[in-house]
Amino acid sequence: MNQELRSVDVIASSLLENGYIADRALATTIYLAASLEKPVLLEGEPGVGKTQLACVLADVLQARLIRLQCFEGIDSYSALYEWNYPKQLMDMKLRELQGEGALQTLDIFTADYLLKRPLLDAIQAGRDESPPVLLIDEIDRADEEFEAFLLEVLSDFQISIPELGTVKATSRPLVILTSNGTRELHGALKRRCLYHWIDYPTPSQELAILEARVPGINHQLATKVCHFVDKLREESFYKKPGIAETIDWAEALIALGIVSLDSHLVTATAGCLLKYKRDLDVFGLDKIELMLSDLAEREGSGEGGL
Amino acid sequence: MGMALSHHLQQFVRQLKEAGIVVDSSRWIDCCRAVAVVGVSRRDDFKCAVRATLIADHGDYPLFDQLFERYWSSRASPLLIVDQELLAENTAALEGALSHEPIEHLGLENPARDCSYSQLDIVRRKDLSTLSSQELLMAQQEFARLAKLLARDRNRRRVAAKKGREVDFRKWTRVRQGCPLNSVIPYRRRNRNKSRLFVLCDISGSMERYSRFFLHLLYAMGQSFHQVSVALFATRVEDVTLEFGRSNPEEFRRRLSDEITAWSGGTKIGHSIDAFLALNADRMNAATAVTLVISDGWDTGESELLHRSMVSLRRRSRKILWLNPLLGDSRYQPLCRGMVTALPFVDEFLPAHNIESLSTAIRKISTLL
Repeated sequence: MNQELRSVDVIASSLLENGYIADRALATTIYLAASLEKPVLLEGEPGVGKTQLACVLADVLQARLIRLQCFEGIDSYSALYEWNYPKQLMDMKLRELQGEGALQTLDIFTADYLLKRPLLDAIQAGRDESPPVLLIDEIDRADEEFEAFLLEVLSDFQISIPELGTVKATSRPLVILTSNGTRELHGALKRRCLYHWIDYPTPSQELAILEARVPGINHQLATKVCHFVDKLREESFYKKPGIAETIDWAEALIALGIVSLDSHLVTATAGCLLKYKRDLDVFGLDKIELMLSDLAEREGSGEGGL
Repeated sequence: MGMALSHHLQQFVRQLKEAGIVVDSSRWIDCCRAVAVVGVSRRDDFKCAVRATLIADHGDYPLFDQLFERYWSSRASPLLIVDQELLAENTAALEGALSHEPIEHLGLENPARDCSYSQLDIVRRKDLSTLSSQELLMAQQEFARLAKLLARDRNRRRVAAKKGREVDFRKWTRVRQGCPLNSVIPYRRRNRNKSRLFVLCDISGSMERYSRFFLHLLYAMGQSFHQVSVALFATRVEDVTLEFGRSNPEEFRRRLSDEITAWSGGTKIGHSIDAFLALNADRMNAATAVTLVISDGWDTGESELLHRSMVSLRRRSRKILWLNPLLGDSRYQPLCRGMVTALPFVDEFLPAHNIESLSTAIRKISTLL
């Protein structure tokens, strides 16, 4: 096992050093994934940092990040390998021009004509370098057939290419699957993985993230921003603001030279936080004023302190 | 002591099962392995290890937390004195033993399978308005299963075609490796399912007893089948297709329940159908649209308007299905004004009072799509 993953404490501190604020439960899940050699399924609302975790882990382990972005209709060919058809046809045509005999000796199903896609890349990667981090992003966008195929690959970490033979991984990569929870994943896939739900950060966690990602931000402003966004997430919007939106908003406020929040300012910059018209329609001046006064009250009574 | 901890874990798993959380034997083995790796010296790490291996749904987290606190706080001693090596050894032995042991002896089967066939059967036949919360859970699972019947292949998948714009290279290079270039070029095309399903669901006061079930069903349909548009109506129409982005059906229902109570006060079916047609003007055409209306037919609007709107709907749909929960009663006759006006335009008039009738209706819809 990689030295960086030798204990929960080491993982937690490595993540922190690389700018990823995580709670201990997540560090424990990563530790288990590395020790038990099981994939991790991270579920959570969009924008909570699921994909970011994989990137940070790759940095921590000084390993390559291999990313498989799932989309609607993805099939095994897009994920595993594809033959380089234009090259095959071109070479066949060239050989054909040389004469009948030459064409017979050409084998178009060799490694030269193979285009490796992320999964095959991940399987073969372990040989010459440290095991990579395999990120299978937004698995809920794919369909059930793809899930079944993925299950097969993740179980044995070997695939057989009919023309070339079986390819087996020498060392298992750390596999992270992410899902936005838009649909229920198949039970078999869930059984294969360790499960962790990443929730929105608490105001104090978000403050730490903000101060790490926006260096030099005024502490008072950052605190107000985090509390406000936390309150905003209690409302039932179609799409609640994620961490990236909080960072964007903070940067926008800094660019405008703002130090304290008022309802007009918030309305003017609401586009940083809410990205759907139906949400912006609901997010009116009176609502914002109510929220700001609630926060001021809480701060005054000492509850809102971090 | 190692055996004692694994025994406690087994007991805990039983408690989870009784509470309705599904745990099978492979998860339990993983749990034991995880605990062996993480140890029991830190309570939060132990809890995380158990949770990550046994729980696979965010919705179960609160229940798990409650049960965990209740179980493990009263049995603190196993957490304090456990020999980790001993646990690891026992886990290996357990794994070996479990691979030969039939699952029944561990009592870890899926709780849904625990229901004898007759109990599930009874629930399926019971009128929806009389179902308890526990039975609602079963109904939800049933709806989710049924809704999958509607799911179709995604657009990007391809099927073979005789001619078209896309060449099927994969097939072509395999046709005859000797000389494929002189063979007939195989093509492929999108496997597009053009049918769209439009659903209009009545949520007025008279349908109140049934509406929450229909909302669960509509939610399940929206999750499985992407080409569906759903609108709810009473005195006005609201398009709720985008709400299906929510992963939790209860949240979906809660969000809408406030709006629903605001609409109570009669049903204007004709007016609602007109508004619905206007909303979907760009997508609804007679070649591809299948319309489903879920209503009891009690109409407080004008029947002349209803007649006209049914004519328009007929022109814009390939098939119209009407689901009426009142049809479940054998004594029911569609005599109310609204039903009488609408019935001549309807292709299929189906009951929708229990799970069984809904499953028949969905099967019918899936054959039409």
